[in-house]
Amino acid sequence: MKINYKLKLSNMKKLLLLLGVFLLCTSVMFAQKTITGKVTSKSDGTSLPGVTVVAKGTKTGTITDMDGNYKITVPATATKLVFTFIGMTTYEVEIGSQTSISVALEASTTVLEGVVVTALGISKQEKALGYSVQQVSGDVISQSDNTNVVNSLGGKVTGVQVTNSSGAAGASSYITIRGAHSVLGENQPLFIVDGVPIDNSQSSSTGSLVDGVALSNRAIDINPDDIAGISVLKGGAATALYGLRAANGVVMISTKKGKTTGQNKINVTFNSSVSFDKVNKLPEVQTKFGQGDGGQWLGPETHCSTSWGPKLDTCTYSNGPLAANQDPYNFGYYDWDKNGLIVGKNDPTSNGKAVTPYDNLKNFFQTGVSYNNDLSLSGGNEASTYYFSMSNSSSKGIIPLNTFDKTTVKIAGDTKLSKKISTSGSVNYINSGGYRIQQGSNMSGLMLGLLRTPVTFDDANGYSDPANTPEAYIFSKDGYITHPRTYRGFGKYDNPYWTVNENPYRDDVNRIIGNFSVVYNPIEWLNFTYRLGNDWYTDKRKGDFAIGSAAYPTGQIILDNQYNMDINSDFICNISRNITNDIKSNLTLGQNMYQTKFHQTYVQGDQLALPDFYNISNALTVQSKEFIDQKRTAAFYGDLGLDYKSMVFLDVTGREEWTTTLSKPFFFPSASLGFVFTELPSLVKNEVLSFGKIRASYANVANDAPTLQSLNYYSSAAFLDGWTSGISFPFEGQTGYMIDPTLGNAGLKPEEMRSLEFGTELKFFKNRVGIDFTYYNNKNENVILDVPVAGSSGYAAKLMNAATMVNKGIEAMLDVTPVKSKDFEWNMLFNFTKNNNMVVALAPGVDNVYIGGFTGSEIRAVVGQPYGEIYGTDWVRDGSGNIVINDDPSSSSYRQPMMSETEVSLGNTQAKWLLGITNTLKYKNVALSFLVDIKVGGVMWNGTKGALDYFGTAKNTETRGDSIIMTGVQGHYDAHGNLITNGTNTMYTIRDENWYTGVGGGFGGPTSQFVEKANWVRLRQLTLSYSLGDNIVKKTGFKAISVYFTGKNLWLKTPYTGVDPETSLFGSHNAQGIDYFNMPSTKTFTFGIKLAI
Amino acid sequence: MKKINIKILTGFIVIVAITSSCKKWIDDDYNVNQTKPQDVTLNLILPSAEASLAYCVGGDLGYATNLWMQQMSGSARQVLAYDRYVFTSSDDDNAWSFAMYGGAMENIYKIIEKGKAQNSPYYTGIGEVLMAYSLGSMTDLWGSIPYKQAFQGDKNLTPAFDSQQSIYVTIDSLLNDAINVQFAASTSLYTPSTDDLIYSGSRPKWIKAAYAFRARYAIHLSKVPGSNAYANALSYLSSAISANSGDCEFTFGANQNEENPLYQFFDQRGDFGMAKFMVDTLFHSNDPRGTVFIDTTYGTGALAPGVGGVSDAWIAYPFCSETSPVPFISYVECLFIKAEAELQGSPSDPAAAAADYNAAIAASLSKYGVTDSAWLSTHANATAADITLQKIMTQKYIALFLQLEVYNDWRRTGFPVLVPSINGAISSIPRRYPYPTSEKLYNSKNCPTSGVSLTDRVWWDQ
Repeated sequence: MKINYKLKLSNMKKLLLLLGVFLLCTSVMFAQKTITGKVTSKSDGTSLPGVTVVAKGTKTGTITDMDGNYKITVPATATKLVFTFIGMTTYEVEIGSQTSISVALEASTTVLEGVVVTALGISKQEKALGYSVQQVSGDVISQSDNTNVVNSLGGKVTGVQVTNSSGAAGASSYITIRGAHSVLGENQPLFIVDGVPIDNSQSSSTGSLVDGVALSNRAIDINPDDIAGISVLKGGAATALYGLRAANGVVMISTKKGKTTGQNKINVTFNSSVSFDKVNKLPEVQTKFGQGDGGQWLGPETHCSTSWGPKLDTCTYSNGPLAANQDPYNFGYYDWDKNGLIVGKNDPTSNGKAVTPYDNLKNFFQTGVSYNNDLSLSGGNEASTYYFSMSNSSSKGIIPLNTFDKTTVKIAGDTKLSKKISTSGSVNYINSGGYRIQQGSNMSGLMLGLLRTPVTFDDANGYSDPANTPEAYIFSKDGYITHPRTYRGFGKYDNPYWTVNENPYRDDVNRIIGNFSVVYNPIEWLNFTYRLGNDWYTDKRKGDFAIGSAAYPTGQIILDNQYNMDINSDFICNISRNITNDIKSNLTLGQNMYQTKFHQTYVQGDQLALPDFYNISNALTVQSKEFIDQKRTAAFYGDLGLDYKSMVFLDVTGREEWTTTLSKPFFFPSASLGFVFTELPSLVKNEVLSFGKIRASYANVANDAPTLQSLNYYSSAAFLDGWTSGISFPFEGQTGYMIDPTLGNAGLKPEEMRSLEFGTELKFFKNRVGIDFTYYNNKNENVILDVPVAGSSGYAAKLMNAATMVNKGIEAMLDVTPVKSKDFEWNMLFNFTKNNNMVVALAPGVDNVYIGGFTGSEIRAVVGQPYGEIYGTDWVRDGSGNIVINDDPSSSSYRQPMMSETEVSLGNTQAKWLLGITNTLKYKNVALSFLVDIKVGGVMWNGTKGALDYFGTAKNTETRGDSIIMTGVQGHYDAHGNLITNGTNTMYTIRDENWYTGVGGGFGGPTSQFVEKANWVRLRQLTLSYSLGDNIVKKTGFKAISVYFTGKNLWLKTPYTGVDPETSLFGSHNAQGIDYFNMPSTKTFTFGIKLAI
Repeated sequence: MKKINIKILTGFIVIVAITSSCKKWIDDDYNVNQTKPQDVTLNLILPSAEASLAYCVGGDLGYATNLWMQQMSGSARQVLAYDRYVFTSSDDDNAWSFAMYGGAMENIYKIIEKGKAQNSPYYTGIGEVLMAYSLGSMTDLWGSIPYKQAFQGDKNLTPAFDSQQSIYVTIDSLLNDAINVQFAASTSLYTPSTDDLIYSGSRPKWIKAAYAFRARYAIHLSKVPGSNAYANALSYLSSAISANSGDCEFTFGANQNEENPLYQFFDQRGDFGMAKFMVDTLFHSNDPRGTVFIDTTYGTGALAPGVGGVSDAWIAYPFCSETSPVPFISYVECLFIKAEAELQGSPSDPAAAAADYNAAIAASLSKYGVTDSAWLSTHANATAADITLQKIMTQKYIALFLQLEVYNDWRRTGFPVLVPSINGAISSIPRRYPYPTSEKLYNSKNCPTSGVSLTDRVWWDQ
């Protein structure tokens, strides 16, 4: 519909040109003064045709010609010229004695001020909306310099929460709008590019997310420099026209189009930037104690896993005699450390050299470097425009060898075939992928090996470039057998340099997103649009584990080929008529068809015959699987908008939708009302209140049911009893199948959301202060769950519409411009988000369900709590919640708090509120903006710390052996199992190796010890930009030059003791709040230049 | 305006055309999972049904009874609680819901139904024997259980519970039908072979096993007045398993995905030890099977008396290795049933009972690969004069180590005489399992609520 709008614009332009000529003629008679000049765009220096130039307070006006030039004759009384153009900030200039006035207009902060892109890509007047839509301009996205466009929305839009999974190159991000709406299904919004839905999934290779590599969410493929603007549709009424895909909100991305430049002129822009990444936060490790157990040094040759060895300041190195196990190759020296063995200071073999800790963490991480280059060509004439762009971003991560690369090519164009028919289309080709690193709960995981390494072991083996020096991570080659060099001898946990070199995982995505549309405009008030779009990609992944890798000692090869094809078709008819002089109407009728198909073939080969030869033919055992997922929907929809005197706006929509996942169609209605009360005669000239609107809306939208669940199926038999890993088929050479324990359901209904929203939008003092406030209450009913059934039915569960979840919240935006003068402007933008989510009911007899996580630290949906509770074990507590310290001297846990086996809720992972504060300061050509992002509430499971406590490498284990009086009460269980308490605790608890490897650590102790607050205040983004003055630019031959610096995460304050708490092991998945050896995050320094030719 | 109307009309015709194609577009087949079968052949269900049944009865289903019968002890976590008679509705939920009803039994039910529908009585026969065994195992632990309305899936999500008495009738009729109808059929469209991981499709062996089960479930009714338990048992035994080689048992495999359940429990969790009572029983009689059951490499290195309530002795590797079989019913058990029926039946035949008792012990040693003729000559030498029920049941207790039958026999006969745990949450040994949480919650209108505490007794145990 943007195309249509453009055509209208060009028509209007002709009209205004005529009008301008007419005005020019008439005004000659009274002419006092003629002014000429040129209007250009400040951002890229291109000339702007069609800009309205009016002498303020008069009826005299003109518009600029094809080259942006204008000539106006104004009466002597005129004092100011006003330049207005859609999408640009209105600009007023004192005439004074000037006869030549050239101006450069700035893009307004919203994509098109006053006009917003709404559902189906339909542009509407913002004033007319009865619901909240927030826009982010392309410039803001571009200057954020995030490879992943999702990250550019963090802190900038109310109601939106973005969690970047880690600082690994190409890592995914998770985004939700107004909280969680589904329990087990998708909670992320629909992504739409130019009216066509695109895939934003993050598909794992094996189904397990606790280990493996950090994968991308597929919205990462979009080139940020191609984006003209993003509209975030938050509530039900905004998204109602998407029916079954509307409940989670919609991120509408509009891409850049060519602009009319006149004959033989091309707009060329070139953006280039280089970014440097540094680790922004790491868990602290202790540096005082060496590898070992019980205070005794046990070197790598002993395979000892822990750092409960001697205090380093009591040790020295020794070149003394070696025990047999310390010299397996009879070289006569200690191979594990270039400094030699560790012995006590007084040991006769001591060479007197003090033992100093190795800083494996500091040595390991590097400065990541990313290059971003984007070239675009655009232009056009009255009939056609085109836009062409090429971009490349190439990232080398903070982790050696970790890369992510993306190359995009986009061609877009539109052409007017006749007065009534116009077409447009675009093709966007993307190649992306990287070299990814094993992470998480994974013996070959990077952080797991790295953080568990004792400070007495040098992962780098003394080499300055260990990542490229095999001697750092390979101990020896023994014929065909490679012995990895790790602190646990050979294998067990991989040396981080082994992990990056020997366990590569590469993905290679080839993707084409395209759309084509035709607009037929038979008469002024009627048009038909047909739009066809597709999103097609293949993702070829290959992962290798070298022989000797800890996770797969005999080696492994994974081949994972994924294919995804989405097709979307819309046929839209739009009728726009004035019913009376006061009532205008707009009716849109449409039909949509959509298909998505995903096809995965996965081959896993184990036990490699030849080392270092990674072809599936080299695997002794090969397993394979194939998975196909698909869905089709069809819908009719309508949208009737009524406008009474540009004051009251009523919008009613409806969508009748069929889907292959549900047995019958469903209808989704919405209604919204906007009342611009400042249009009332009594308020229309109010000096203080420039604009005021109240709005209300109601909508009924939904999430679709999961695919392929209507029938019962058999699966290859696997059987476990709750205690053990169980048995699976093929078994003793027999193939075996069992009926799936979950009953399919052919009668599923969609997960419905009833969405109620009220809001107000107020602007004071000529828009110097703006407030936008929204309250919403979204009730999600019929949310689908595996509802347990009586086992005697022969099944364990049935997929049913059962759960209810509510999201209530407020969103407040405050936009203040305290200073605005010719040269200096200061703007503050506050985005406040508070969402209260509550799981009201799950299913009869079900009070919590598993979403994801680890045994003993799970993310669950719990009735009566917000979505995403951390569930795990806690200390035994008395009636008042105090922990109970065991005062039974005969007990083995005497003087220690008692651990309860029962799993309980330990806190919620969702934020209580979010606040993003953007300050923008502009002085002449210099602009400084910084975004402070505050998150309050929400906890995270710091599983990393739990493990590091156990292994004795956590910083807090440096005070090992200390005693504290734990806050709580004394007590014990009597013979009948009753808890007896004996008042406030006065006993000392010793925190020694026994404590940390027992109940005080992560393997054996309660989960609650490692649930930490994940609040933060961070300087999410700081951008300093400078546009070179016109005089300088002219000399260079460019139209515009600007340079900028952007820093991200330059400052972070958080009580969280691990890596940056904006992290998620599972990435773009509902189970947020899990940190188990997650990759660290980064702070980024970007230097960029933008050129227009 | 006319022109415009035509154009509008054309527009609507296009919409109507699209609508009519919608039906084809929204194709039901599109929601069919192409990567999983909706139906599979009998030879693909049978092995998984047998394996899952064996995994459950050799593991989770019986752990509490192994502890209560003081054959094993629990040293930590959940099984320590079981050992102290803390055993609740959530503890047996998995065995009931996922392992048996929703797992093995549902698939066995499918075998019976498919065998009938596909004119394959030999499969139906195996299904019926396995179902009889499953029902027997379940009803002995829980009393009333669903059967007639069970396994109906969507058609009945809340099946009624059948009384134990009627379940026993069902068990015998299933076995009778298997022997006399299904296995007696002259042809079977599909014939089980290597996919039968128990008997490789041997009908004679299945028939003998079916008779053995009839004998077992007959003698279970020894306390039920008028049940004719002993005579029935004896009559079935004449056609039952006649050698160790005919045992109905499931052998696990050496690969990681094929390992014995008890082995996996020890390997992955530990927590179990040998119970003092079991160790002492073996020690006092210097039983050569002691080193089969008990790992003497820990502790003294030799068979020694148990210490306290918990022995730190481990169960021996030969008994619970990766590939150890899980017995369903055995020749040894048949001999013990025979000895008991001969002694207790009327008229009593103590001479025959003594002979079968001696033969049973010898067969048990042989079964565990122990040859000790000297020990046999002094311990398997009962005569008509000194044979007692206690002797028979005590030896059966040893021979059927860790099998569910130990608990059934103890409840029927009171032998061996066990002293309840001093750490017990209740003062006597439990006599039944509580109904699982899932039946209580999701089948509440049918799940019995009275007479179901741990100390209540099932129908045949009154």
